[in-house]
Amino acid sequence: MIQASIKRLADSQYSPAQLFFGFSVWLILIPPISAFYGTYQYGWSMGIGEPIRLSLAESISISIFYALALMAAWFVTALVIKWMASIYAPDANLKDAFAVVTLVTTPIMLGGIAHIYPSVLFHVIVIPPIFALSGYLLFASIPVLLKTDYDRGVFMGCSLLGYVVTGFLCFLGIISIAWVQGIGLNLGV
Amino acid sequence: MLKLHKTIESNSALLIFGILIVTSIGGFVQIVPNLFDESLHKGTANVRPYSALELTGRDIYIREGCVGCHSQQVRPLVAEVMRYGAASTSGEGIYDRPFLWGSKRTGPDLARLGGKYSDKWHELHLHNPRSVVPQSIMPAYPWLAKNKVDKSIIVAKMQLLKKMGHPYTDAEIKQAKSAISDKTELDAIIAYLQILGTFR
Amino acid sequence: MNKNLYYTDSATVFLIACTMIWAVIGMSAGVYLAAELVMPHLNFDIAQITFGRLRPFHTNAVIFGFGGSALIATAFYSVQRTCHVRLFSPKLAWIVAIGWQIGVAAGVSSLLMGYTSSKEYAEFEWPIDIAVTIVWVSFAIVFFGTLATRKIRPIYVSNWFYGALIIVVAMLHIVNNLAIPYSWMQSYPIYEGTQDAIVQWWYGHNAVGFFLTAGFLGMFYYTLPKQAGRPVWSYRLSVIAFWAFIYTYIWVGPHHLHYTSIPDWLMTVAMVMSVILILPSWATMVNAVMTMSGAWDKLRTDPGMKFVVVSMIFYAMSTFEGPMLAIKSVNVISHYTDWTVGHVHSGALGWNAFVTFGTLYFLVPKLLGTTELFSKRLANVHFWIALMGVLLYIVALWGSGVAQGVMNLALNDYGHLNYSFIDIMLVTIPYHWIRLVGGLLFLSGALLMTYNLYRTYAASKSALPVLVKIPKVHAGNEI
Repeated sequence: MIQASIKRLADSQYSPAQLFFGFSVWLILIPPISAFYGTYQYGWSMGIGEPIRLSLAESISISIFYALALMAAWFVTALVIKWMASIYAPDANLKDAFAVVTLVTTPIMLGGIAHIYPSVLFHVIVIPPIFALSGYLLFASIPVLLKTDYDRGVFMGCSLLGYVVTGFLCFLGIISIAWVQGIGLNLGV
Repeated sequence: MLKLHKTIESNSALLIFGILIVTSIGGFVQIVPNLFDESLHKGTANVRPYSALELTGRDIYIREGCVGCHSQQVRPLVAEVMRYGAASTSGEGIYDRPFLWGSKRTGPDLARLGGKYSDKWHELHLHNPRSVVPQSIMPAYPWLAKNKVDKSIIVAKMQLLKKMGHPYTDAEIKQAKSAISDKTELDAIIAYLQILGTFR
Repeated sequence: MNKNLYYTDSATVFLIACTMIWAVIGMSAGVYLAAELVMPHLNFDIAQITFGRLRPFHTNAVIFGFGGSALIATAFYSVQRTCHVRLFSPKLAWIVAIGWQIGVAAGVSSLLMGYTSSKEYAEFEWPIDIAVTIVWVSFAIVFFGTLATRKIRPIYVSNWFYGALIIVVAMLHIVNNLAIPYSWMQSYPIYEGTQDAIVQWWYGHNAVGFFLTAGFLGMFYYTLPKQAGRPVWSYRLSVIAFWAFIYTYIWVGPHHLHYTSIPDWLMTVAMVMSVILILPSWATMVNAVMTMSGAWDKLRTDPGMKFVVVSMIFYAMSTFEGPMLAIKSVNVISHYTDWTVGHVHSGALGWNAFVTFGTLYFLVPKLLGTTELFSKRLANVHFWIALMGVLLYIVALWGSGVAQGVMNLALNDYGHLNYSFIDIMLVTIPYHWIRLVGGLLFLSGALLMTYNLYRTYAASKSALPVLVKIPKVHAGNEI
């Protein structure tokens, strides 16, 4: 079933703009809106003790930042795929790169609904299966969507994973620095 | 540049020499200036060498690997000072051989533990941590109360430290053995824990 | 028969067996430690297996037992072939191989008995320090002797990295372990307090940088081109990467000491050099990726290749996370927490262990004169189990570490501490259970590999020793 959908996406004639504005941008909104709801209504809990509550203004601004960050990451990833394709998938164009990002990020964006239950532990449990699915979609879709052979596709997938993990670490680092500067959390530094 | 490298990589002696020079620079800059930095080696007003019993206790702390879960270095951050006490300074540690700052807080920082709990509390806690802190994951150390301290090495220890610059008097060293005779390892380690942080 | 016409690999085979034995011992200890953290009764009131004593047993067994044996094994194998000459003194090589096992075994046993210097990754007391120094010097003699008697003029890049490993580890070990004994198994360091901390972490970080990184890069630079059947992509890049790497790494030690009583300038220097270090580290990764260009099909047919390729991803990730954690503002949160432990293991498991597994899966059939592993399927299963294990481990400790770091510093609206220490400790429990599962998976994979390699050995025992003739050097490259 997954293979069939990938094939359908590959055969489709959507433009990059249609892929993003017709589909992805709506999915991208799920995590920030869920996060706003969970953060403002309940507050983030580490497991025990008082949840960390934020004001309405803080919750809204962090959600907007989150949405913008997701969109930026989406585009940067698509461009990175296009760039890597010069070695791994010379027949791919920008629309194909957009298609890969659209497909692979779908489970992750849908999974963003988990932010409604703002517990760090819950997220740690929910993340592995969602990312496992996205990982599978990544490796399954690259050969088809980027018109390259299986083996090159695997190498490209590995390189992309490296980029994704590095991107995530960057994000974690930026968030840590933001927290230490006093944004979002009250830390006694 | 590349020609120079072709030469180096065709000559094992040059390669060894090159590696040694290049990798010595950073270490030199990190370590040597600090040897001459007074502030790292000057004691605070209250610092003193460990007594025979405290020294024995410190070495038991090392033996049992306490440093693997407990740090002894309060960072100058508002929340840490609130939680643990005044930030640690170099002057307090000039008689610490080896340093015991630790790198992980599976358990709380102990830099300013001295005087926070009674001797009895430490006795119960070391015998079985869960008797005073029900959710603790710390291992129990019941043998400390049963073992008598090893008297045979205390004089050698203190003489060595004196050679290294710790200001022990000859009288202290002469009396060291009798000072710790009939003490248990528990007595020793509690003596050590109770002076932690008092050298400010 | 003129022995000098053939390579000698018996010590390598022995060391590979030792590598797997240490993998099982060291990783089992790690799993037991993880279990003790969630089920403290597993300490059983037995001094020798309490967490405090078992932790350095684990770190030394995996770094020096597993890692060390793998490095010496692959160094002996690859230095001969890249020099087109038989190992300089195969007898001394055997003394190194056996001496290393005795040294590490004696060392880790002494740790359980409570003889420890307490300085991380340098816990062995002075008699063992002296013993391993003798073994290491012998290793240097064999390695550099082989280089000095080589038949091919240029020294291949993998040997620069192994050479740096040998020289720098010797320097670090000797300087950091300078101590004066007061009994046959105990001593005090010549350094005190803050000075001791600075020397210790100059050592500690470079133990990681040279033992666990430079040495394994040596392994990697030999294995990858061989497995891919293609030369290293850019010679120029490997030159820059090597010298920049060994120069920069030495500076970053004090990032383990941010916000402690060391001088401020030292923290800043360490932080800046740590961030700069990303460049030479990633230069190697770029070289690796580009080298594989064209060898696409190898990944499918060769389970060892999967390990080596994925090891590069974790190498990239760890050498990015490290500098990031070295930034003071991030370190404020991460220091003393599980985040550091997660970082260590993403490097140790994802990079070091994976590149070792991949290299051994590649080398063992060659060394035994067969073309096939006993079971490729088992090796593939190993790969997926190990990968799942590492990912669970890292993600769990990211959760736990960030929680610990933030809760340690969090203030409530009145400006008081929001969480007690016990609050923080309780939050980490579920993450520690997940980490235990991750570790168990990784250990299971290592057990599968040990079985696989043993069966491969058993099937080809009768064909040993394998005689590999030393090929002639191409014209123009002779010394």
